[in-house]
Amino acid sequence: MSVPQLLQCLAKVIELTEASVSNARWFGFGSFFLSTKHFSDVDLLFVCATQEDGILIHQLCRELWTEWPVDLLIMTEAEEANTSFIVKWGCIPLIGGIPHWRGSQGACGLP
Amino acid sequence: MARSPQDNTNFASSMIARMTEAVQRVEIVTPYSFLVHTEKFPPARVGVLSINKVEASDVQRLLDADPRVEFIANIPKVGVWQGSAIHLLQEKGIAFGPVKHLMGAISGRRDEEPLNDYEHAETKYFKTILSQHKNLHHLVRVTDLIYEFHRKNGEPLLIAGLNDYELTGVMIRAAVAQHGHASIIFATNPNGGPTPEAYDAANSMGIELYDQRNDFYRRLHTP
Repeated sequence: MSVPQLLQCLAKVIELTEASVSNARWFGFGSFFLSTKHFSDVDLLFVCATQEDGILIHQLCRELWTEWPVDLLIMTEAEEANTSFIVKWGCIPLIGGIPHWRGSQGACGLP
Repeated sequence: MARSPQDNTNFASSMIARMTEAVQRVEIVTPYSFLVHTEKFPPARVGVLSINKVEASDVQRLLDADPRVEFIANIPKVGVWQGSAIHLLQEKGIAFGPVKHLMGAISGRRDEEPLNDYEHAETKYFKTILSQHKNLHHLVRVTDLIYEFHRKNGEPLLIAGLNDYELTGVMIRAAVAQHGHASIIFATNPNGGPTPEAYDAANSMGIELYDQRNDFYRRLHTP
């Protein structure tokens, strides 16, 4: 059990959910992605069109939140638009498998 | 994926070891527990679990391996602490929570006292709100988030406190799926609040959702 394994699990989940739900967007925020020191949990945001999509995703990524210190927030596009969550929290888009920020910033780059 | 207790302890202790401002080093003492060494205070003894729903038997298994732990941390952030587990932990005087709460306990330490009495601020806040209500007869903890609120006047109520900064419709449904049904949800985070979709989701499940303390308090008086 290690940060690279956590990232592997995250990449698997992102791939799986992108194949299952159209127009789905994953973001990372909080200490794991933004701090260079330590992290207390991995803050993830998933934005999708409908609540039904969100519920499906919550089930599909069960491994992620039942086995890792992950704080997953699922929002519909309307909820995100009303709260401006992405901008407010400086969320980083996670695109296609292992995210592009890996190793470049945040506690996630630590061994 | 089943991981060994040793794997879990290695992972949790490595997270704590990164708190270099507060922590000198960590030392694994059993497959279920480790010591946190700091400059100022005596070492803190921490137990580690990684379970989606923590029962009393899980706590007992850990205590059989190391009865001297002060705090038990569960790796999944949203892992549920069942009432039976909480009862045993309180009886033994052991603090508990996700790794984030353990970090709060370590970085917030101001004296030589062990971590046993630590309670996270949001837990304390919700318990205080419930305890101060005039219609309270007694509280029974069902999970770490849900309380059975027995009233002097009126039927008991199942009340959940959710601290999410943005409480969305899906997260309301997820909390109910994880913790079980509640009759009332109180959104305890004063900096955020439920979205309109959260109210719709709660309503569709027959749950009353409040984010204002006055409204919530009034409801606890209503039969």
